[in-house]
Amino acid sequence: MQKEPAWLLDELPKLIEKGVVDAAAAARLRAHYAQDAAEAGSRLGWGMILLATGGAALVGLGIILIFAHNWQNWTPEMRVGLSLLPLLAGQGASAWALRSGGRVWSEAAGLFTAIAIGASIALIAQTYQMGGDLPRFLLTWLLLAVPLVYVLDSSAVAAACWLLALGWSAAGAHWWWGRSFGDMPDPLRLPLFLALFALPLPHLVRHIRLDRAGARVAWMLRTALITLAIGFVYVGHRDHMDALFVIYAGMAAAAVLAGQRYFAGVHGAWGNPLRSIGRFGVFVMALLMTHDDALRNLDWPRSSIMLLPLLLAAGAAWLAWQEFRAGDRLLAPVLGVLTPLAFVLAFVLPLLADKAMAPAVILAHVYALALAGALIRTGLSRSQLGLANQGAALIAALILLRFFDSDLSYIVRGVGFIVTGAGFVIATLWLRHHVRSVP
Amino acid sequence: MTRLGQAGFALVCLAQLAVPVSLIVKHEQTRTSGTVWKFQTAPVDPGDPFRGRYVQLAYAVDRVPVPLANPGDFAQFNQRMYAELEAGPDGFARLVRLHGQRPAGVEYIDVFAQQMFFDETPREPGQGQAPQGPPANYVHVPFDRYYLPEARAPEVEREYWEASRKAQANTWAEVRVRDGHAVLVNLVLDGKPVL
Repeated sequence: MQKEPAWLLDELPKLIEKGVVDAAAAARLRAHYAQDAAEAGSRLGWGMILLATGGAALVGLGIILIFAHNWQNWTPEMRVGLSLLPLLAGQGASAWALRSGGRVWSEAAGLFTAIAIGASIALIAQTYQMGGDLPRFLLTWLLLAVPLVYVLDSSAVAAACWLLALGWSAAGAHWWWGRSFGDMPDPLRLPLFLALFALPLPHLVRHIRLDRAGARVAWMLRTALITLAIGFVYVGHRDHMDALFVIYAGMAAAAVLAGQRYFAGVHGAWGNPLRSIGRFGVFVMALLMTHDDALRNLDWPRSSIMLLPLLLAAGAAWLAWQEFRAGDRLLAPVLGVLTPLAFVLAFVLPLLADKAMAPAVILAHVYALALAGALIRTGLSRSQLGLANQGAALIAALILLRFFDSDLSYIVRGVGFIVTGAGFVIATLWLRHHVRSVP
Repeated sequence: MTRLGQAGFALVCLAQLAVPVSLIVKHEQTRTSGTVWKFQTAPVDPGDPFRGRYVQLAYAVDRVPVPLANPGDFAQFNQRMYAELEAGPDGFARLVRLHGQRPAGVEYIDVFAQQMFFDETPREPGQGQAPQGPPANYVHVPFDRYYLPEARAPEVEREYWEASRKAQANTWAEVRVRDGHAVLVNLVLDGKPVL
């Protein structure tokens, strides 16, 4: 097949934006040409974008390495001039990309310029023996790179900015490698991290509106989720780490429900990262909650970081309500209660008395089984084998974990594993048969 | 591309260039017209993987409390303050007073300050942490790393460690200071300049 379908699919966001076609017509065109594009054109388009951005990144890093290697051979004046050279080259390439209007070159030039900004500041810092302040360096780098996201409409730079925000949060985590002078005060770290994270968000939202099924959106969502998930580890004080238990529960539930609600037509784990990463998170959280030790040692952090799970729980509850009204009467409510339940299990029941751990663990098992049941039932009703399989896998994982926790002999454990594994295989075959037979 | 877009792009380019160029101008001014001070160094642990090879430096002045010029200027954690400079009898720089605002008519450097509490009572090993004593203000000077050619850095780092461990170390950093802005211009180990 030729490149035309891929070209047409690539043009769709622009055509929608200019009002040449509406979103419904674009969806029909996409559905019609999706197969052809997957076979030829889109592969070429994405291959070119990946090659160009990867190439730009390598060229940028290579130039920095060559500079670094020969640094001592140049006079300070030459070093200063050379420090600015990658940035000027990147800006020239960006200007050329803007004139040519090609998306591939916008992404490549944007990423190259973004790298060049950091390189220029770092090389000047080295030339003038400036003191080490990694968080401030990363913050400056990010703030100077962010405009490229909008000027060049570059998603690669948006992803780079999220990674820089993540770097800023990790570099400033004084509990990680010791508190240093120049650190940001604790109460400001979370709001600033969220503010930095929000900087490329309008770009993402715009592209979700234009083409929610596009690979560009999926890549940005993946990077944004990773940034949030890891960034939250570093923005709080070490004493606030226990809050992560409910933060991750809230994030996972909200992600699955958002993936379900706003990316309903986007299929496959790769194309809908909100749903796939969120489901993985819910799976892990449901299992973690059933573990006595995981719940026993948590302390409620009396800090503003607890606003996060509150906001995430509210978001998940709202999404669950919307999905419930749209007809999902089983899985959405079960996902909606994950965060409040995690909070009760982790911070409320252990406060009552140590004996309260038993009801907490029982409640967690009831929830995990209810979730597994909801996944299987919903998978069957929607003819989605993967969803039903996740429910079966959750039950199997629960059984295996309890075997690990118990003091049973190796023979009993071995037999238990075989029975569980066989049960899982039989359940999968049954589900496959049942899903196929559903009209 | 519209005229507005072109203007926006030009502004972005200017902003991106302004940061490194302003760093260059500020440091060049200090290097050429700043006053020279000698800061005696002290041993330190290195660690930062990002900006190439360098020797991590610590200073004797970081380990001596500095009195406040105005007792009302309480040093919060990491507060930006201004340390007044004076040359000691050994020729090394001393930080004699901490100011909350930029002082006029004296040489000073921008520092990060922190108030700490120490009990000066000598304690035996195993007695645990000292109880809180009277507050004292400590500072951290910002010129704490010295970049070197890749091949030379490990050797200089070792020499620095050996030299700065000696009791009467003849090891110092040569720093130029202008309006509070300090630029490290050379490192002297056992009386010999590194570069």
